[in-house]
Amino acid sequence: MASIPYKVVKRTTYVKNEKKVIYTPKISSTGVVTTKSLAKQIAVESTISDNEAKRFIDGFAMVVREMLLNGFQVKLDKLGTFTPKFKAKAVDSAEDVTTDTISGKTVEFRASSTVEKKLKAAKFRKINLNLEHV
Amino acid sequence: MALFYYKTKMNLWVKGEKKVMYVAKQHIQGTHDEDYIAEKLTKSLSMEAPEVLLAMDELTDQITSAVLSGQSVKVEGLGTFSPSLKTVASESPEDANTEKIQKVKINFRPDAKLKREMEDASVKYYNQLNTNHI
Repeated sequence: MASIPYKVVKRTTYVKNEKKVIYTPKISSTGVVTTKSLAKQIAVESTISDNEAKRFIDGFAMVVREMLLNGFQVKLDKLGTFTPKFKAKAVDSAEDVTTDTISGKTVEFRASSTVEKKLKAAKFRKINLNLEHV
Repeated sequence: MALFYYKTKMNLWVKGEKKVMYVAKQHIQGTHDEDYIAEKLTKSLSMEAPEVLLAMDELTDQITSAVLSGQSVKVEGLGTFSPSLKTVASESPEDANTEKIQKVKINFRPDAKLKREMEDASVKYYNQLNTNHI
């Protein structure tokens, strides 16, 4: 079973104006899976070609974007839910609530319960690197 | 394309004093799932629905398993999924072990295209009578 590699990092923090050194585990990234390699993997595991898999991912991203930009949530049971979000400033009267009070439009993602279960059962492995000071 | 908001009333306590304020809240138009996405993709790509569903299954599996092995996954046009840890700090590097890991989370960062499109999306007032809506 796959495991998440972690390293120990050193941090300097201030508690009641007193300098304190603390240590925490932090994920040691093993790299980035690109869209191209995702497409290759999908092609291996299904009946479609690399090119079709790439077109599928592009199409998938486009459809999800369209839904979010139209104010819909997108719920994928095996991954999670994408929701369009914005920040809004509270004002003194209902009439003052206009689009001018809205900012920071973005997309929020929440992992599904299936994924949450997998995350809870995740295994870890320590990577012995020199202590990183962050 | 547009996002929608409604107006809502909220009670805030400012310096021990109750204050009524008004704020814009996101109105979610609805939720779309895998089947809906598959239907859309079947029409736009020349692929059969079972092929699309299988590819989508494989895509979500690939994302989850990559994240669970410490990798980030970049889906062009959508965003990057990456693992992160919620941890408790310790006073010595030896104590910074797996017991200090409270939770594994998946972070999602929308890519530049989605970010830009969200920021540019228009926002419209959703005026529907509801007890919580104004």
